[in-house]
Amino acid sequence: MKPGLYDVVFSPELAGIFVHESVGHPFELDRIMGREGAEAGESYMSLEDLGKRIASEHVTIIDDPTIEAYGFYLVDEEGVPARPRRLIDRGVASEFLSNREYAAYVGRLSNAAARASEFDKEPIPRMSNTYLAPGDWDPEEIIRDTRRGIYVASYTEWNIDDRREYGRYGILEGYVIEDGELKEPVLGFIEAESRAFWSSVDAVGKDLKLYIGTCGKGNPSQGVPVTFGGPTFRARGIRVV
Amino acid sequence: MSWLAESLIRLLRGKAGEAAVVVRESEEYLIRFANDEVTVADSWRSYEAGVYLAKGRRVAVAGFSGSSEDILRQALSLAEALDKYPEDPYYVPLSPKGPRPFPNAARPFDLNKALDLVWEAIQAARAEGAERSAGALSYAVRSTHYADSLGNSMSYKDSAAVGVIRAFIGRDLAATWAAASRDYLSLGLKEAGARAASIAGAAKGLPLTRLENGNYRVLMSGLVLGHLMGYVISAWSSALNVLTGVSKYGPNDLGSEAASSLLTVYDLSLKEDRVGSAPFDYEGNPTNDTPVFEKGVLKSFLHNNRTAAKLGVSSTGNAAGPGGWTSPAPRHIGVAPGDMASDLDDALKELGKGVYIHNNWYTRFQNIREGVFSTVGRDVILVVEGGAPKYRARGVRIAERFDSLLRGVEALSKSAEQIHWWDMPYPATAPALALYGSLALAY
Repeated sequence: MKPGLYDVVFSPELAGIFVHESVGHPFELDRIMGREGAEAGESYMSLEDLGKRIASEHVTIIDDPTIEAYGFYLVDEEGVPARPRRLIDRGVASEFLSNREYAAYVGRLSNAAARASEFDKEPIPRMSNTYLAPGDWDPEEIIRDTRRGIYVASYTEWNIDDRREYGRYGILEGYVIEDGELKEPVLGFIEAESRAFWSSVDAVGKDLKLYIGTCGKGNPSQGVPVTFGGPTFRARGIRVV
Repeated sequence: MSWLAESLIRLLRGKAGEAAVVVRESEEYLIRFANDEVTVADSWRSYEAGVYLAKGRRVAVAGFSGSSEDILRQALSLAEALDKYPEDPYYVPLSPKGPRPFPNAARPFDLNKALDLVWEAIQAARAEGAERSAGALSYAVRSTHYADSLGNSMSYKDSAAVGVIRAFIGRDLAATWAAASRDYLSLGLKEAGARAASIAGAAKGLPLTRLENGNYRVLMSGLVLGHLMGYVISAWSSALNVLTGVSKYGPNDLGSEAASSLLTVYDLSLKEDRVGSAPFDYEGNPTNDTPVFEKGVLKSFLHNNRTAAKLGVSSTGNAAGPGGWTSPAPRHIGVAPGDMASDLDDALKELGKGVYIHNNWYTRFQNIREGVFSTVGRDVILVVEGGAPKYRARGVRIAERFDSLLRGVEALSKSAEQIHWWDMPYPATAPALALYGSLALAY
């Protein structure tokens, strides 16, 4: 299919990789404040972005360690009781992931994101179970409502820059949508600039699913168990090449 | 920790027909810094054990870490499960041939000296125009012991130092330099700081542009070349990948012209001053400096005893780490230098019109056999016209195939240096710069 801008419907699997890479990581407060600058990188977010609109009103992204999934915990590695964190609340940047140290730098209390992969590793701000909150669309309804676009069911060869601004996701399984119906298979890449991408979301489904993974960060590198997911959703005018 | 290796063998000898263990004890030191301040000064001790067991033709291998009690318990569990394993078509009996001579030297770590090095690097970066820097100095002193059920044992001591500094100007401009050495006092971290800041400064004041997807002449730093060659060598020259069809190459491709005649790439497992080299591998065999590509010709695959037996050759000593008992792997990527200038300004003139990519990360694959990958540019990306930087760009990827990396080299710098950092798959000795006639870049 010709490279260009398309309305794209993404499966829960795609919702997962998007929330993890383009929202979860850049909302880690130690990144935002430069501590990971030489390794995992920094962030397109700044302290001043808190309270500002960075996504459409349909987008709420939550990181919740209290869900009994692969990223579950009730108390973080610094003894802070866990609770859900609304990173983006109806499009507005609402909360960063912090440990005690980085919360103190900005005059706040830790929101229990301090995790360490082993007893002798330092606790640093990490994700747990991160997801795009469900909306009120049936997933099939989103496809039926799309005149001409692409449905992406699964991805391959993804990567993103170290400020988490420019993501690129290979389409492993995708289909052309014509007049609300899935047609022939399609391959290609989704190019997603994080803020523009989340600002273009106009429909979010009910079918929340979580996927497990091991998230890497830190020096020495610490892999911690996480889940990431969401429901089927649609973003308008996305560059597909 | 030789006692742990010997204890493991005593424990496992009765449970398996053959047993080999490699125990490594590491003293690790780490200083991290960000925003020109030290954020972590830490040290710790770690223990790892690789265990190989065979009973008849049933084989089990695993790597364990933790306390000695944990390691002994896990090794025992592995042995007790051995009867459940299928017969291994690659099985060969243990046949260690012993170590190479090795210096067995490591400088003790001095935290105050190391902190001085970090501070000097930060100051050097500031003097060259950096507004802030982040980075790390890490150092490990390691003792490694091999023992097996045939009664063989061998040991060595070595060290590894890595220094990295990333200099920032504002939020948008950054450049990294990274060095590796056996000795943390010889990293040249101060020079790395000045160099990183100077490269970041090359983009200062340049207008930002968006590169369209397409093919460009590309100049890349040794950081990018070393990173990508690490993936090429590990994916395509591991003999297990050759035997199982994961590599593009088959056994009959040896001797073929597989790369530019300018390209010579070795696995430097023997060269003592290269980080990662060792006197023996996990099969107790002597290591080698193995040519993979020599002036563009595919010369050798990397072997352990198992793959070598299948192809009727000798092991190259690349059973590197517990995974090396099954799949041979490189330890240190050596790319031979060429005759291009090592100075960036001079090399940009050689580039003429094209793109300079200083660093990269997040390399991912669609198809390893075809070598289809992309990797994200990081730090400054310069769009060059008339031999001088004209614009800077962001969000640029190299989206290519391994074959293009191997065949498309037009020039390599005269000087090569030892480098490694957090997102490089293996330590490398790589020319400062590499020029490619055409590589596909994507947004």
